[in-house]
Amino acid sequence: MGKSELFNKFMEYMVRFASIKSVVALKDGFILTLPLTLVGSAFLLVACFPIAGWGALMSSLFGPDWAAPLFQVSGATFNILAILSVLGITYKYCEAEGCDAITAALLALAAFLTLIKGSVVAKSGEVVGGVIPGQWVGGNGVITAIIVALVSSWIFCYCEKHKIGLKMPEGVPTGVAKAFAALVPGFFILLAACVLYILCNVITSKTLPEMVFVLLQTPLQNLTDTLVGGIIIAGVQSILFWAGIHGPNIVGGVMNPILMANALDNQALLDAGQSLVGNPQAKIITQQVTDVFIKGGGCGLTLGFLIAAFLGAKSAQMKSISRLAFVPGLFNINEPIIFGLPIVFNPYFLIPFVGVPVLAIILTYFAIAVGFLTPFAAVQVPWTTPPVIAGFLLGGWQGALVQLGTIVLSVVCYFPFVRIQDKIYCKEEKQAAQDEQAATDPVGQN
Amino acid sequence: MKKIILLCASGMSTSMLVKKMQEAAEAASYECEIAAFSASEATTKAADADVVLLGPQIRFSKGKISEQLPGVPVDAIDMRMYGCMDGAGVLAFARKIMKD
Repeated sequence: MGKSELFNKFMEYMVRFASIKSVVALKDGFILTLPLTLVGSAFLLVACFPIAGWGALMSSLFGPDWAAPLFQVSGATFNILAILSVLGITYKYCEAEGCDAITAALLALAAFLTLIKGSVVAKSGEVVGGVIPGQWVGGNGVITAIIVALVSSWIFCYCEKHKIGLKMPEGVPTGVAKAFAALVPGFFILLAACVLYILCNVITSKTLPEMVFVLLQTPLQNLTDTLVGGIIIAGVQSILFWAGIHGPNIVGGVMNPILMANALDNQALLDAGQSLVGNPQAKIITQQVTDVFIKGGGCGLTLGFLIAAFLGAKSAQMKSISRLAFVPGLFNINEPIIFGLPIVFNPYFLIPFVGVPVLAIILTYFAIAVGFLTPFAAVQVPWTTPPVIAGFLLGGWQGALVQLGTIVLSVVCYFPFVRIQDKIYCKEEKQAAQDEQAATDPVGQN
Repeated sequence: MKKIILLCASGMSTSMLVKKMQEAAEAASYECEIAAFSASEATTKAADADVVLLGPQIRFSKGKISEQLPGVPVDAIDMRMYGCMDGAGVLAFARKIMKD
């Protein structure tokens, strides 16, 4: 098999993967958690603004408990990530299938709550019942949430499509009929959850989320939290986008729940009063690293491309497209440059477009590993936050500096490739001008 | 009045193109409604559209979106036109599909 054939096969599989119902639902559903986690981030950011002396200043102004209400908000958003995921993913799956999405989502939530422990052990050793343990409805329960959502959706849609359920006679209001129609799939979903709860309890005396956490989620989190894991994430999304497919959307859609869980692990360490710098338990690769530090100006760190073009391009085509792409680029939107220049399927840009994000993630990884940059916790910024500002909000001046470093790196790496492409365009333009002149001035041909 | 809907990953970059298309439509005094959404909103926002155009970065989901929108013509926008934000070109493409 030739190289290009191999590449085509790879792309075909990625596209097929991205079109799988469950993957689409996972991607679209998890995005629904975004408004909450971003708003929660804003409150958390005020509570832990990344400049020295901030906490002390605020305490002196508003008393020692000034941050407690802010943590209330961030807790109510991040710490229910698994609940939000169950609702979002089930909703999106059933909506796309044309089924009663909201009913299905509520049933899936009930199934999820059935599966988690209904009690917590207090410090004194006393078992307290009648609670929903926060530990399992936040980041730790995310993978279980995804599994429960997908299985519940499948059962629900199967029943609805095969008309398994109680049918009401004509004339019964639709709302009432709908509620009855959901009884049978609801019973199946919760029965499955109940049986699963018993099985887990009998076999391992643990709950399903606890088992999934140990057997699946922790290994997945540890895999992503390595330099190689980071490089693969950075590389694959760029290769996909180079082939004209929205890479971050596909890769992020699948990886974000895990990367988010990494960030929430760090937040849990902070909440427990531990420091993240030099802490071997802290995760280095989090969603902030793959979202912000390797995407300055958009996937492929194309802000560096634009700056290189401003510095060295002479052809009208290169100049006009980089001018058009600059303002959106500041907000990390780079479709104009990807499709307009184009970078897509352009052999000259494969190396920098994939290489720059990989170098950027290596740089960021080591900046965190050596303790220069603090590992990221729950605070996030919207993906459209301009570079350097985003770095500052996430990591203080160190964050801004590292992000600036990634951009300088991208300018340097893109520059020679921009020059090569520019020379080709210059030549083409010169040729076109000559042809035009020859056409309008036939005397000149003699 | 024709309704043209553009879809992309999050509706960001297509919204830039929508503006250019609206300008082109106005210049040609062609009355139409043009809007951009994220592909996940296809069923709720684009079911009554006369044509649905996809950003080239999500052209792989053409099959799935056509399935979700029975009777609505769905096609992907040419990459170069998309990148250069060629509003007039994309509008002409949309009108060609609608046979307008």
